Amino acid sequence: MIAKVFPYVILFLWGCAFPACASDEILSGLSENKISITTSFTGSELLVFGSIKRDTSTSVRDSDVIIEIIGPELPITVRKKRKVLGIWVNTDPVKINDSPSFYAILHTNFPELILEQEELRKYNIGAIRQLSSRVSDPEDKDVVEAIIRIKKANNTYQISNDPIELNKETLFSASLTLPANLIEGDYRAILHLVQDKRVVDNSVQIITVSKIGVEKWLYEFAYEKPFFYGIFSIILALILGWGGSVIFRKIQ
Amino acid sequence: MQIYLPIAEISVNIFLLVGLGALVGILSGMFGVGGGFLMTPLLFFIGIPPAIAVATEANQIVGSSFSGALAHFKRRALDLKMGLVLTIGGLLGASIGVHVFKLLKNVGQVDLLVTLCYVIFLGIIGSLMFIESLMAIARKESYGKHRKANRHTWVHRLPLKMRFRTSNLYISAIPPFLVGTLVGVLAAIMGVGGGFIMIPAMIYLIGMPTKVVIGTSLFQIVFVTAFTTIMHATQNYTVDVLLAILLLIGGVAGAQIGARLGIKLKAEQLRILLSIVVLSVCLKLAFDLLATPSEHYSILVEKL
Repeated sequence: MIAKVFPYVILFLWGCAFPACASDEILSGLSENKISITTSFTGSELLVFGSIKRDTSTSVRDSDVIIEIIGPELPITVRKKRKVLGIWVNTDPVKINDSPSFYAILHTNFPELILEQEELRKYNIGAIRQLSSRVSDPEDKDVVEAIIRIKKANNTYQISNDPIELNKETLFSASLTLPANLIEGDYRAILHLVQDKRVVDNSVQIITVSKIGVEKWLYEFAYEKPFFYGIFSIILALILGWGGSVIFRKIQ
Repeated sequence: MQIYLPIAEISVNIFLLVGLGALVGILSGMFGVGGGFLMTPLLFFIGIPPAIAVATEANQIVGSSFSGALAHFKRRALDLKMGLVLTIGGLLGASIGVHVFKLLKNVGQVDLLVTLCYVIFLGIIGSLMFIESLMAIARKESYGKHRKANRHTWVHRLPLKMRFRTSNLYISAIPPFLVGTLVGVLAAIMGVGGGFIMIPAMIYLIGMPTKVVIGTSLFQIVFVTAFTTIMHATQNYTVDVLLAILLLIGGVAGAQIGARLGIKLKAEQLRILLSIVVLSVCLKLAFDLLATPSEHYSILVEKL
């Protein structure tokens, strides 16, 4: 976590150290900071909004905004199917230590067009950069492409080609749909303010995704007391199996 | 109406699950089969991860076999001693099965193991059932020429002989123990009760009288699937109790309807129908193994 926030802290300190060269700031907000997974959870809409706080001492600069939503980073294993003795078998496991379980990017203009390569790298902007920075072997390019392809298909990678609008050069808002297959944890919404091909300010918001109610109770029961959860599952099945047949005989 | 399954961590239509439970319940009520061997592949087809489908199905079978086992127990239509030998074998088999399952899960090959087992077993059972029901229709008139079990084979020369009073047998405990073990392995790997293996083995291999066969196999199934459920819950964390409950609700209702339908309809034609269903499921699974996949890569998220 510290490593991830570090560049922004540096940037913030930098901003404070040179008050004379004051610059524009980005302010942000979210429609929700907490998303609850209930039994009827089918995904969630998220609205990210904000404004650019202009420094009045300078003239209005051309500004762009990039919004990234990054889900909890978990280790993953990617396997390739190969034909072995006529059947397709998983082979060649590649482990990636921290792969964002969710990634979405929204922008007023394509990051590649408005930012220098150096800046893109520095802030890890873009889905491919998010991943390839974690894959050591350059031969794993296929793997990175496969991850993006699969995650795009199940909506856990959302790369928007529709630019968001910057109203009166100041206000912006963007909405996205978080799918039902969300992994629990803290999601970061990172907003970058871009001027003159540089990131001049950042803003981070946290969205906490967690199971609640029955979902939370069953999940924790299953992982924390698996033996008793097993017994509980059996007893429920016995009651339903036996009770059900008794009820049906009564109805008959 | 969608429902979010806490362990599978996906959102599925609730009516689809209850409906699947009912459909398989009707089939199992009509034919007197457990239905696990149909339910588990159907769960794969609707997108439940195989590891969760198998473990959850074991949990469901505990419930769906219980009332039958209880009914046979009350009527004393079971061989308790034989049931115990089969169960002890089953517990050993289930432990082996769950450990093999865990090992292969860790190297990403469990889906392949489960699918291969299904293709093989469904292929054999579906074909046998198909041929036998065709033959049964053909020889309708020659009824009564029932096959007598081979009374004196290698089975009767094995050591560790035991007396099974209810079955009126004095045989080695090794064959029933091994049959139980095999069924236990299958319960753990495939999420089935294993009646389709156990019942023929009890009649033809062990030579038990048919009137105690079903009760005894249900007795074994309840204990072995209950044990399998606990093993999967503690070793693999793959039992989704919410999924099991929804399938059971449909299944219990379906089984009652199926039992009533089964009495009214013609058995041989129905058996052909069931064998065709079994063979189609087998072919679909085989096709998925053989056909070039649309996506060559797969991602597995390692939970902390």
